[in-house]
Amino acid sequence: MIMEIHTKMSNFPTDLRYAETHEWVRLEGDTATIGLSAFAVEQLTDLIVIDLAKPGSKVKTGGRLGEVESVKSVNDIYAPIAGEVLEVNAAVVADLSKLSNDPYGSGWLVKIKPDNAADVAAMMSADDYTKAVAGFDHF
Amino acid sequence: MNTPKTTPLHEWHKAHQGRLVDFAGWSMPVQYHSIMVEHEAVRTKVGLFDVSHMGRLEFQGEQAMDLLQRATVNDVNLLGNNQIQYSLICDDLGGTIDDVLVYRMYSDRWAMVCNASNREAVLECLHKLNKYLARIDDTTEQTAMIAIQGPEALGLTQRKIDPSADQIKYYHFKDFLYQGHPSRLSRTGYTGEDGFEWILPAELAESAWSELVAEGAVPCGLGARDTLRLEAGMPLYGHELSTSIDPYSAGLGSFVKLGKGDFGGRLELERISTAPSRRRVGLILVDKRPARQGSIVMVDGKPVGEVTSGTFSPTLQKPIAMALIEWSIAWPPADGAVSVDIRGTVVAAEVVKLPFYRRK
Repeated sequence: MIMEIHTKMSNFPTDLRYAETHEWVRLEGDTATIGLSAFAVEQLTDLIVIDLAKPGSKVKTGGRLGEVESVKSVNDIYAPIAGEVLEVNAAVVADLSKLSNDPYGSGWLVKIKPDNAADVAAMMSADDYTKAVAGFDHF
Repeated sequence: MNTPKTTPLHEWHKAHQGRLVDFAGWSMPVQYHSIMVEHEAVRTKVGLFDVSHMGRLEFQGEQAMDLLQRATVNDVNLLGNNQIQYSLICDDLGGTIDDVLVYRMYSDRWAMVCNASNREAVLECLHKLNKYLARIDDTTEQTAMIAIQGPEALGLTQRKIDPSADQIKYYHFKDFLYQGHPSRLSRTGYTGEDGFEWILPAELAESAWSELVAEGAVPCGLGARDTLRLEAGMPLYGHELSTSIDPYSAGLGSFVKLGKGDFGGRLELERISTAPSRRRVGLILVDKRPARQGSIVMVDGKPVGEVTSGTFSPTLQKPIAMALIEWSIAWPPADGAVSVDIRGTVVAAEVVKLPFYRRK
């Protein structure tokens, strides 16, 4: 997701990896769970609707994984790693407050089977992501 | 790109998590936290908006009235002292240069508030017509403008700004001294709620704003201003109005007074008045995703127009949109005939009369 970056800092869980476009990944065995960082959710606010890739579809790194729309804008969600979509969080599609209130837990978005699990390790650590977010802060 | 201009409240916005964006050449807060919360505050309590980016012009002299009569489409003769009129400025082709508020103090003292994005075009148009030699002053950058809007706006305004604010009728204003300095308070707004717009010297803006916030007024950004005006069915320049959209197509024909004598665009507007190219309509979408500006509107699957503004209505909890539809299309069409293409997905739309929201 690409967005106007703002000032407020968040504490990012250190057991996750992060993309510049604000998605997080949790790798457990052959399954990578993907969500949006609390920073991204804070920036969006006022979420209305989310649309996610269908189970069974293949996504490329940087490819479109879905879109989330707020009162103000439509924002693409990008796949931080390549793989096959295994499962979509239907509960979050039905109730976006799960994403707003618990972005690393019940607000997860999709689970994918990574083409290459090493892609996850190559993503940013929480520290790096914190710095990246601070670096975007231009106000 | 030029550095955006800043309002007298810029430092306050920065210090209070205002998300600043470049809007019409000004750095303005789009929201502080949640557009929904800010919107709700205006509908149920009271919200504050920094609208200092709006253009503020003053006119003086015996010829000021003639100048405004020639420049605008409404009839300024209809105005009494301390009264305000919604009007438009059109080009020779009948396209809209801007929509404005015209204020009459006395027969030889007038003022205008125009859109930030059009201030230069409006000034150019006025200077071109000003062979009558009225004095025109642009006071935008010496003053601030704060909108106080919502059911509690009157009480707050009486407590903190002017105890007799209740005497100001809708679309009227008064000039008075605030802490010894000239200020102007009008019963106007852009939200569909009761409220005021207050013009005051730039140097007093931050303390006045802070006092209003301390009294419980919720600071609101341009995001909520947009959702509020859209629910109220009010046009926004660049969306429902532009140089390629005439007032009749925008549904604002009642403000054009063809019989008042000559004015900018009159000949073309007279012709357009009987055959506008489009009509402005309201739609509620039967889905969660809002249509945005540019989405194509269809009747029985055939394109008939475009969405000019769309958002998710916090009050109705549904996506709403205004659109311009070809005049030749019978409106409203049969139930179920209208749909909108939202980035490739065709969604059914219900036709409704504007506004979407009217205060009780």
